[in-house]
Amino acid sequence: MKKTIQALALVLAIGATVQTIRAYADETGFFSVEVEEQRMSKLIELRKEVTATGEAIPFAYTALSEEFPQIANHEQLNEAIARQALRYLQAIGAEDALIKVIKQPEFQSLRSRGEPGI
Amino acid sequence: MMVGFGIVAFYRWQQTQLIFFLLLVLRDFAAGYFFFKRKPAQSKGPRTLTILAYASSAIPLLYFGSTVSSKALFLASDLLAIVGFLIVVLATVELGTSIGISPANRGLVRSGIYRYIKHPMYSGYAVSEFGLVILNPLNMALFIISVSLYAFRAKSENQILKSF
Repeated sequence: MKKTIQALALVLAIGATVQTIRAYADETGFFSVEVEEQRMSKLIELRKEVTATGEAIPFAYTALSEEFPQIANHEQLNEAIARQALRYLQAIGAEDALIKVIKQPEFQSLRSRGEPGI
Repeated sequence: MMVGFGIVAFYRWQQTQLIFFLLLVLRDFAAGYFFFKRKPAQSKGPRTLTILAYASSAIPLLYFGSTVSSKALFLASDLLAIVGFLIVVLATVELGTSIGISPANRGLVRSGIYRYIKHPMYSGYAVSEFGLVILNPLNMALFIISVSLYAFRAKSENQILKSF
């Protein structure tokens, strides 16, 4: 039992290390402003398309959705837009501005949801 | 209390999908189980030492947030936290039912990680807390206080175990 928990701890620590390094590598990778801008625009277009066609039509049938096969529902679309918006901000070098702005009172609801702390 | 921390850590994992929080869940639930099942102390330290031990355990909650935006420093801090808590988990499991916050004699443990490090639990916490120092220089003051208290607790534990 003791050995099993210790082995599990080791596996989790290795997993956490790999995840941390991978996240660092992704974040420090080169972001092209043009590429990120285009992708952002396409995602906005996809959202417009989905909103226009309504929930009844599956995402896979829309023309733009072929470019984003990983997006299968509204939740995933919202997540992709949020991620892409952050990548775009990184591409234009606005990370510090984002952190500064998100601390403003008008975005309090975003902070309280994300910072219960441990 | 440890189970409560474990539930919070699980909630944080669900929110962030960071595997590190699962390591905390494992540590908190294992510690909670061992606290519940632990042996009665054969000898205990004075009451002031108990208060000091609890105060020392609470100090990590006082660390300030980061003031740096360097991703490399965040990476270093995260890696130190992972290494530190891995040491803490290994020590917690090795201690088993001999676990305690205040210095007491519940049997000497010399196996596992205790063969290589005399006080792995404190060492692990110190390693992870150093990660917070590199994110905010103000944390250095808290780190010095925290490590001094760990050293004092370690010395007190050595004395209690030696007198047995």
